[in-house]
Formats: sequence, structure tokens, C-alpha cells
Amino acid sequence: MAERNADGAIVSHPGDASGRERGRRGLSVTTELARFGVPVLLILLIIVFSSLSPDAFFTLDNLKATLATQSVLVLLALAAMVPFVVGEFDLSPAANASLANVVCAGFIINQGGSTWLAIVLALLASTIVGFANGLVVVKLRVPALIATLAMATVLEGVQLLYTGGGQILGAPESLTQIARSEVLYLPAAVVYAAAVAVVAYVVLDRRVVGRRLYAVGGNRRAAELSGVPVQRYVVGAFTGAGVLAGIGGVILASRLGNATVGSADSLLLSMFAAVFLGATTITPGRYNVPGTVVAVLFLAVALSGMQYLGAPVWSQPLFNGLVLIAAVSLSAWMARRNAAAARKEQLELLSADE
Amino acid sequence: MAPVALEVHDLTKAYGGTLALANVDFEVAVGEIHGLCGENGAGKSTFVRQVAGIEKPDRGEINLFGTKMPRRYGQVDAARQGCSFIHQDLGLVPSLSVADNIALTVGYAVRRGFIDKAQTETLAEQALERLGLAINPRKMVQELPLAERAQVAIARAIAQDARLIFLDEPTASLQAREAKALFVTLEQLRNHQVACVLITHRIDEILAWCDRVTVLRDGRNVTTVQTSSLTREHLISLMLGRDADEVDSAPTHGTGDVVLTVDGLRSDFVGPVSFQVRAGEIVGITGLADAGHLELAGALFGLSALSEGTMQLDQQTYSPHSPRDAVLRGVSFVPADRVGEGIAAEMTVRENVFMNPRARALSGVTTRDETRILRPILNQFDVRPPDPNRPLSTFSGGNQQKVVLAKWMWKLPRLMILCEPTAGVDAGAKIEIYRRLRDTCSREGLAVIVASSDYQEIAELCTRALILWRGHLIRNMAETELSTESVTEAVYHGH
Repeated sequence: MAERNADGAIVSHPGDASGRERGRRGLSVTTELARFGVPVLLILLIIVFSSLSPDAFFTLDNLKATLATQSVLVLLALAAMVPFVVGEFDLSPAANASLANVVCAGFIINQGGSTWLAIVLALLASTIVGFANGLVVVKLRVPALIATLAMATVLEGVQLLYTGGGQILGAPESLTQIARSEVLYLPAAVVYAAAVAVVAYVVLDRRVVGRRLYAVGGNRRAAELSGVPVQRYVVGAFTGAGVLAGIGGVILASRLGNATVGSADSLLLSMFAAVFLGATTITPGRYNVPGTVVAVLFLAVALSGMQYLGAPVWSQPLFNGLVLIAAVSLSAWMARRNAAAARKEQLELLSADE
Repeated sequence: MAPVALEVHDLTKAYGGTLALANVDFEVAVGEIHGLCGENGAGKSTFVRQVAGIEKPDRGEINLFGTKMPRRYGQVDAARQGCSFIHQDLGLVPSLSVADNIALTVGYAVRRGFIDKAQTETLAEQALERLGLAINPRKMVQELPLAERAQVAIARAIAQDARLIFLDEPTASLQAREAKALFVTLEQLRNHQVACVLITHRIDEILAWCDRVTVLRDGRNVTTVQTSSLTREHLISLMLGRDADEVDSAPTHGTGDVVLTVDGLRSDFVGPVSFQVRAGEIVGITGLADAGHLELAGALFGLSALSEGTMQLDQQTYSPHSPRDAVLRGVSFVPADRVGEGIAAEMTVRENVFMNPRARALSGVTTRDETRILRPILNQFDVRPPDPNRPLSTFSGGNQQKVVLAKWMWKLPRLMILCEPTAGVDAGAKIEIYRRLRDTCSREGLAVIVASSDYQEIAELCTRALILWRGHLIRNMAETELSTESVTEAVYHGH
């Protein structure tokens, strides 16, 4: 069995009980499967759909259109994800994006303001909303689910107040070309979403700020006792969600070329589906940027593929819901299995001491 | 001799390779109050888990009221035989009334399909009266004093026709007077032909109220004796497994400059307290559950505001308003509740270690760099397996605690405060943790404060001990005075 050398390091003899080694290898295969399950399925789906309907599904135009449609959802899913990282629920990103849409398009069309100023105002509004969410949760101690539900309702009121309930139509090209033009052969909206996703990934995964955010979500008390200013990070997460929702709203304004109350509301459920599905992949058990992006694409490809194959409309929400249940329960099962295997290993290590 | 309620023979249970219970024989008679004691980790709770049918023993026989329990014996069987287990948290719902709490397990009185509130309350009242208790069944449990809550739990067990009741540390959070009221209730159980097993750390209670006591040590039944033939010193030596004069003393440490000076400190539960901690010292703070030693440790870390007094760290004013202030001054804190406050269990070892902002400064933020830096450190701290990228939840309690130590110690703090550092830690890891703390203290001049309720730990680990009694510092024990017995004596005798 294992013994320790002079430095106190554990030395395993090559010939000894390899049951444990084998056990671990088995573990890592399923772990890898869990990590890359969704991306692999995504690729399989693309292959299957393009072979079933070669001339309709896998065309460049269709691909571009799918990606462009999903760009707003990617941003909103990221907005929903960031508060989850610190262990808080945020129901307001969709309403916040709608607000940004209304402010952006409204300021240009109704007030005749410049496009850039409109964008700045829209982003500012969404950021303030996110910051306010954070303050209400941290300082007034309102549970996040309730606080952000209330905020979403308030935002709907604000939009109604500004628009009077009608549509704001006729955005100038200066606004619409922002998302509709092409950059590097791709719809600009896609490029923006991708850029934001990369920044979010770097911040969350490669910067100290990100580590701290995950630590706060992992165990708030432990993070606090480690010297992390927890309240600031929670407010920061909500503010970050506000910024992301605002960017989503501006791009939505540009893609639509108009503004209506609650224009992004229909994305609410899809964005949570993507966040939860995303948490089962890439780094399973953890809300993560690449996972969320892959999940948005997976759901989008699956749905548009089914559309091309003539699946009825009702099958789509059905598919969305079932995939979510299947994915999350599968990853919960996997986590239990890994935990059980690890526990067994710890016991073996203990008994090796005897 | 009264008929036997519970008879256990040759009970054995192994966790991994450690024998948590080894060939334990045990017997409780009807109408008896039987004490079960032993140090932390002696096997008391393992024993209860087997008898309760929560876990399957590896070997052994359990007889309840003359009936041999089958191999596939579970919690339901235990309940059917009239066993009732009352844990420290009592298992009551605080926001419901006494009557509701009793009815939840005993059953509601129902008339025409609806709950008959009046009748339910009458039934609860009767159940309480059987033990001579006059508690209003309409009161919310959360409005009752702690002793009465425990009495409700016992009355509920009796109402369920329990014939054998296990009480796990029922008096841990009670004042002496309240504890007495609870024991008067337990005396009543004799009249109802109920057997009672009392698990407690309080030696006085065992001597005063129990008929017999069984002492467990290292998973073995050391002895079962009549309490009338026991003295407190004898019982302590039975628990510790050695006489007072053969206690090993901790190694001597050289001490250096004063690191922490506490002057007239007073906070919610503590004070006024004054003391100093020098570099290279391991100062223990201990006492009974209500002594405030854990609160004092928290106050030193900025967890509660000081109402009076001043502190100095390295001859400079130290008044932490939050843990962050303390950490930035080079103070580390290891909380007592490891899983709840000390670690992020679902995060990896690496992420937990690098949560320490001082550790942070040494590395890049890339997983690869951190993994490379951490691997030798995990080996150094004897973490098994030394894998930085495993979730901490997959490690045993002992290895988790080693990771917590690694987190704070590999980039040395000025002052380290540890609360219950070896709670839920296996014997091997405990030795390793002690060794690591002592080495670092004597070699690197680290100042350490250990707040612990484990008197053996205070005696074996610390170079000096401060004994608290209800928030007051009553004794300062030098290293030469420290033994488990002397600390235990000091703690129990108070003034």
C-alpha cells in the first residue's frame, strides 16, 4: 500500500492495489462525458439535421440567422447567470433589457437624440437598475427572488409610463445598422455577443474578482471569514447583470428597429433554461460562461432543426422543458455518484493507515 | 433486578479501517437512568446510530425487551419496539404550538374529517400531565424556555408509548437550574417503567442523576458501574484511560515578542478580559458551553463589536470592524463549524486555499499555476489525496481541516485563531494537525489562539490556557500545570 517517504510525500508502489486507480479512471471517463456532453450533442445535432435536410438546414444564411437571433438571448442568459454565481436569483434581466430597448429607441425617435447618447443612456439605466437590485438585496435584506420580481414589475410600469403603451416605431439606420451590419462575414450582433461573452469569461475565470464571486456563491460565510467584502461582491454581481441586460437591450433595439413594452420578456424562461443547462456542462456543477453559451446554441439548433423537419409548434416548449429536466437530473445523479466514489476512496485511505 | 429494556452484545462497527465500535456490550434496565459517557470520538454517537437502526452494525446483537432484532433492523423497527431518540435539537418545530408538535407524531384528534383543535389540545395536555408538567399546549414552542422544550420532547415520546428513551446532550445549552427541572422530569420516567439512556459530557449530572454509567473509550465499553461507587476523579480517569499522574505534557516552546495585547475587552457575552499572546505561544481558551470562549475568539477577529476595551497587534492599535480588517492585519480565523463557515465544500481544494487573500498574491489566476504551486504544499500538510482540483466535499473531515490549515498557514499569518480545530477529525489527522501547529509555532514564531471545548486538546496542544467562566477569565494556567484532568477540574469548578 501507499507509504510515505522522508519528505512526507505519499509514494505509491507501482504494483499495489490498482483497484483504486481503476476506480478513479472510471470516474474520470464519466466526468469527461459530463463536461462535454452538451457540446458533443450540439455537434451531433448539427450533423443529423444537415444530413436529414441538407439544402435547408445547414446553409450559411440559416446559420447566420440562427446565431443573430440568439445573440440577445446569450447576453440575457449571461445576465441571469452572474447573480447565480454569488448564489442569488435575478428575475429582472428580461425586464431590464426591455427597458434598455425602450430608452434607446425612444430617446432617438421621440426625443430626437443622437444614437450614441441613446445607447449610453440605455446602458446607464440598466446599470442603475442592477445596482439598485443589489442594494435592495444587501442593505434592505429583501430576498433576491422577491426584490428582482418587484423590480421587473416596476420596470414594466416605467416602460408603460414612457411609451403610453404604444409602439415606438421608425428607428433610424444609425441605430439599426449597429446590429444588422456584418463584421468579418458575421452579423454584428453575433460579434458583440461573442465579445461580451469572452470578456465575461475572462473576468469570471481568470481574474481575482471572478474567483471571489464564485467563493461568495460557494460559501458566503467562509468567503467573509476569508476577508472577502461579501456585500460589495453581491451588489457587484447584480450590477454586472444590469450591464449585460442593458447591452442585450440595446442590441435588441437595434435588431428590432422599434420599441414595445416588455420586448424581451418572452426570453425569460429560455434564458434560465440556458443557464441551468449550461451549469451541467464544461465545468459541471458550476454556473459558467462557455457552458451557458453552448446551452443557448444547443437549444437554438435543436429547435430550428426540428422546425425544418416540420415538427409541430407545440413540440418546442415540450422539448425545452424535458431537456432541462433530463440534463439537470443527470448531472445531479453524476455528482452523487462522484461523491460516493470519493467517499469510498477516503475510507480506503483511512484504512490504509491502520 | 428489573427486567432488561435493551441488551446489546458484541456490537462492532468499522468505518473504513477504523473501528468506531469494538465488541461493545451494553445493558439498560426498565426504570433505569443510564449514563453513557466518553470523550468526543469515543463512539457514543456511533453506538446510538446502530441501536436506532440508522446504520447496520458489522457484527453484534441487539435485544429490545427480550426480543432479538433481525439483521435487517431499521429505524421503523426501533420505533415499533418503543425506542425514542431525542437529539440535542429536540426535533420540534419552533413555529408550531406544543399541541401541534405532539400531534405531529402522535396523531391529531379528528372529527368528521377535520382536526378537532380542542381535543388535540386536551390530548397534549394529558400527555404533559403524565410527567407532571404544566405547560400550556397552545403556546408556540419557540416561546418556551429551553428546558420546557426538552420536556415537551420527552412528553411527546411518552405519548407515543416510548419504553426506551435516548437523550443526547439534553442539557448542553441549559443553565444549572433548568437542567435540574429536566432531571426531575426524567425521574418521573421511572414511574412509567421507561428506561432512559443519557448521553452527556457533564460528569456532575451523571453522578447526581444516573443509576449506572457506561464509559466508552476508543469504541470499547471500558466499564459499566453503579454511580454510587464512583467519584468524579475516578470517572474522569475512566474516560481518559489513564491516571492523573501519567499525563504527557506538551513540549516546551520558546516565546518571543508580544503579538496581541487584549486590555479590558468586553463584548456581548464576554468580559472584561485582559491577556497577552506572544510569538511562539499556543494559548488555549476554554470553558463550559456558556463560558464564552468561542465568542471571545470571534471578538478578536472582528465578528462582534467591542463595547469596551482595546487591543493591540504588534504594538499597534487593532480594532477590527469586520473579518476583512482582521485578515488584512495578518490575523487568520478557523471557525468551529467547518462545513457551515470554514469551507466552500463544492469548490475545489485549490479554490478554497486561494480564497485566502494573502495566498492569492503569490500566484497567477490560472488553474495550471495554482495547481503547480499547491501540489507540494498539500503533500507538506499531508492532505490525502494531494489533489488540488477535487471538490473539498469529497475529502474526510480530517483532510478538509488540513486543507483549511494549509489555506491559512502556507503564507504565514501573524496571529492564528482556531475554534474547535479538531472537531470531527479522525485521530490520525488530529496528531498531524497538532504537530503542524506546534512546529510552526516554535520554528516560525507564529502566535496561536485555540478556542476549544475539548480539554484534552487544550492540555496536549497548548502552551498556556485561559479558563473562562460565564464570560470571565478565572484562571491562567501555565504549561507545567496543564493536564486534561487539571483543565477539566478548572473548567467545572469555576470559581
